[in-house]
Amino acid sequence: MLWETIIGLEVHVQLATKSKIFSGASTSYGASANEQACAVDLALPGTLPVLNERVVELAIALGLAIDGNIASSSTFARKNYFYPDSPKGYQISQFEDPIVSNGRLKIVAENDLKIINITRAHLEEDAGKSVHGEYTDVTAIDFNRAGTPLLEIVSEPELKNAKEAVSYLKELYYLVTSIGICDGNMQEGSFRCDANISIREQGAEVLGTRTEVKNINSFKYVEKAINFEVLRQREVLEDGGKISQETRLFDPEKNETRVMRTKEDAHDYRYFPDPDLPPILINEAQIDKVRATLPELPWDKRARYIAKYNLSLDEASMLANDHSVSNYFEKCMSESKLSPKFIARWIIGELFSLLNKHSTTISSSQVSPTSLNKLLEKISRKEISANAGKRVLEIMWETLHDVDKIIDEQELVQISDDSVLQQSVDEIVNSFPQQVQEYKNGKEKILGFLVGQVLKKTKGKANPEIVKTMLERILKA
Amino acid sequence: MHDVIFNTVSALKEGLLSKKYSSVELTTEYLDRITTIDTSTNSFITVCEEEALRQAARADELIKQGKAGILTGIPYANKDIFCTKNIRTTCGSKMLDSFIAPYNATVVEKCIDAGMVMLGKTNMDEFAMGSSNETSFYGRAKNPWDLTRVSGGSSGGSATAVAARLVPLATGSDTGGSIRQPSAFCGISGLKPTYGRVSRYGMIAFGSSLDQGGPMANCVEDLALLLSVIAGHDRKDSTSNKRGTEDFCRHLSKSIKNKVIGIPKEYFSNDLNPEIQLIMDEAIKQIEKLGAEIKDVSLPSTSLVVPTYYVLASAECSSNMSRYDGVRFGHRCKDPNGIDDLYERSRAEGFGDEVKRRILMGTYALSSGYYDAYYEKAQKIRRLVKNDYTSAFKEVDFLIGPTCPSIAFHAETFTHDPVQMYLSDVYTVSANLAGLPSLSLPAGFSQGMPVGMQITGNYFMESELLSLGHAYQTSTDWHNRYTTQELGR
Amino acid sequence: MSISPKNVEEMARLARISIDSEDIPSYSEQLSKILSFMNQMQSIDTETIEPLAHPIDDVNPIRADIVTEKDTRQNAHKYASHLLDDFYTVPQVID
Repeated sequence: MLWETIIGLEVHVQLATKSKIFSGASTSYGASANEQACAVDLALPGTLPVLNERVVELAIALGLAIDGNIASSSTFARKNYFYPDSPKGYQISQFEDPIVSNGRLKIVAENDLKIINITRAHLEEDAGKSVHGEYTDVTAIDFNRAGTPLLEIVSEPELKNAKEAVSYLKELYYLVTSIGICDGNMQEGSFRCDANISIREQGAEVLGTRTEVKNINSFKYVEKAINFEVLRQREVLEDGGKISQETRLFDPEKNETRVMRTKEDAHDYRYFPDPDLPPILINEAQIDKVRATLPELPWDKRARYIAKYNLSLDEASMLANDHSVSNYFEKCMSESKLSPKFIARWIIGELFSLLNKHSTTISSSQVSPTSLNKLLEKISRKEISANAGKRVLEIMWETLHDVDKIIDEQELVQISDDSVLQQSVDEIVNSFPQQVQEYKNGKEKILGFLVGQVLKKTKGKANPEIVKTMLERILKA
Repeated sequence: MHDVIFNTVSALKEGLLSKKYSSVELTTEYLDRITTIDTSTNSFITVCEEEALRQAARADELIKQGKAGILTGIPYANKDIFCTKNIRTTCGSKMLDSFIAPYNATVVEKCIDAGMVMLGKTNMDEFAMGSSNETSFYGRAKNPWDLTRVSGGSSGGSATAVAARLVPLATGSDTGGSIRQPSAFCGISGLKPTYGRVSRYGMIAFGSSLDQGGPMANCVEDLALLLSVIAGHDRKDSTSNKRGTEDFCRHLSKSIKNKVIGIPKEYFSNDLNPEIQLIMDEAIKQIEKLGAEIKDVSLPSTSLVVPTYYVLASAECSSNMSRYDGVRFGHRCKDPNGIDDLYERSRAEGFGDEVKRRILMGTYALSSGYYDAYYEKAQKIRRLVKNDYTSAFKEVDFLIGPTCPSIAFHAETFTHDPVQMYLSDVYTVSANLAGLPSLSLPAGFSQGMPVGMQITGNYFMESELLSLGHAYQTSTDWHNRYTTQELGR
Repeated sequence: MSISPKNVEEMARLARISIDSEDIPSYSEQLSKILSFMNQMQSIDTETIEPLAHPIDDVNPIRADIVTEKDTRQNAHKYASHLLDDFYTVPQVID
């Protein structure tokens, strides 16, 4: 039987604010337990929430970036449930009228462009963190995270497989980090995903029963969790069983999903409008203000790189997706007259492998755009070879020394002067009479070998182009 | 000195400024009175003698330096629903028996800034849920006019304390009549301001879209003074109105000539107690004599306001009470066997019957399958109630009627019949549903017990409302009556 | 319409309040009375009426994104019970 998979994703994006969504406590990560949980966050009696204006601006920015509808009036609702890390016994969220609705995101799926519709994006507060197993017989609770602003972005069930889901997630990730509404730190939980997964017979009209897989925190896990879940559902159905609507948890260690909550013990959240918070009113002027500060979006940037700089889609993506990379690239471009492709390849090839080697990101690169440019100028003027350039780059990273100083110390200056090279060329011609004869007999490929020998003799400093010309001149004489 | 307790606040202020007595002396006088008399009335849950004397000494210093504000050095009491830093706030519940807030409610903060002297925290129905003070964990406050009768609720302690002259001023909170009904029962004046006029920050929530703090005192002039101190915009309360502070005494003596007074016909049906009807007729005549014009109006939704109110208040309460889970503060059961046991027993032990009933009822009204028929239905009727007032205020400036359908009833009358108890709120809940300011004044006596008149005004018309009340009190003396009961040891 | 003993148990479970089984019938009876009182609301048609959540709607309050509450422990923990190394504790929860 042929099966068709249908996936919808709910992504919790932690909004990049200094203070919490409804209180003046800090949102910074890594504080000691409960150091950042004020009276409002702890739900002490009589305390009241007051909305952080930045949160609204960031939600508007997302709305604009996904070409969605930004509600002129949207309301907060209380989602009632008991859990020790939920201090009020309810979460302030949005239910009936979310701040953003009907957006879309363009993704690449199997080399084709595909539009995924986004149903809604709503504001809500995060819960505290429960620490299990650290203390005997008790669960310890840290409310520092309680009240951290989240934007929950819900897609339509339009994704067909794990790869598409990952591609959607990455695209969304690039988007929220480029427009600066999220710091993108997935280890710290700034970008978390729940997946609604169902399968049905190919061509069937009704959707199959779905399961929700909760709290998947990396792109790799998303792919694994979905693949596991699709396979599990297929096995159940092919054995004549039924999928029960339930919430499951992905266990990355065992690479499986397991039941967390069945439909029977699903919560009755008793949503109702929060009487403590009047509707959020947004006018055109506010939207225009945010629009004016919105940076170029990843897709536009990629298109520009391809059209203007003649880069391939892959190259453009690698430079445009991460805004700190594109900032670096554009800084290089602004200070240099070198070909964009040349710069792009050095960043993607050599700089990226250095970043990888040192497991760091471009924002902590030891080589500044200015230094890289200086190095690339030397290579393009053939003052040093590309190979030598790679070595210089590594040494620059290690020592933070100036390009000239490194070239000088390492004696890497390329020898392009005929008179200096003449002796070495002559020596090689004399040392390899057999190869010289072969060349003269028409085996022109052997020239490469001779050039190599000259380079070897000069410890790589000879300019290969010049050596080649000199050899040709001698041998053809 | 002992006579000062019958003075108006203005007279007390005069006494302080003219150095007839100091704030410390005045405070001591009231504290002594509380010690002797409150054994009868049970108005206070907590009396803070030391703190009060400290504040009084500070006030005396301010007076000496010529820095006295309108209420500097004047003793007052806070309903125990307002959080007070380092002084326990129980909200009348076992749940918060040992709760000490690390902050002051905005109302309390404003009173401190004004140099007022807090004598203590007054008794109240548990979490403000009740109309008789009988749901208090600390026993009921007793009506000074007849100790066998209830004080009314939920701000019963504030009402009895003011009526027994244990304190000249008190704060209260009003979700469905909790300032006005006990004021009426105890023969004092009480004002529920416009929703948003007084900050709710630090005032423990019951029904957040209905709750409003306000002043309670022996006369309208005193209400105006306290309201001037506690009203004003607060950035910590999102529902607080942007209007700044206001001097509510400024227009107090303004004439009420040509003001139009509406008499809602639904409030004067055949069911109304004939003695109360008579007292109202008299009061309305009196107001007419002062130059106002009387006009009949209609509030068609009146018959539905009580069920509507109880659906909304219970629903909001069910959610507001969820934070009392035994985890971060408040009562925690002994040796919980798992997290659910911690919740279920802490809450079962910490809450009284009425609170539990309302939580369960509110949970029901919000639960899947019942939301539309109860919660949403009530929200729709709430709009109709607001519309009723909007139409009425196109024709009239004020609406007048009785505050309550009866005089203070005997204790335990309705303990086993919550619905009958709820019905005693029939005249008061509408102002909360609509968010309007509403005043209760003593207007006469029935069977030796005070009867209250309620005057409701349009949004933010507190000044006008108070000037009408003041005009009435200038021409009557119901507000100056004092109980003939023997109080205290 | 009434609130059955089973409804009472369901609500008590949702609201996390334990109720002794012998008290359930009396809750059922009282709550049913309250419910039938509330049912008076059904006497009017409100089909075309918009629900009203906030009595006054002319406020749109926001605060600037500024950290105003620093080291919150001293205040909030002064009177808090059941703290362990600055963590609040509850009986072990198993997800």
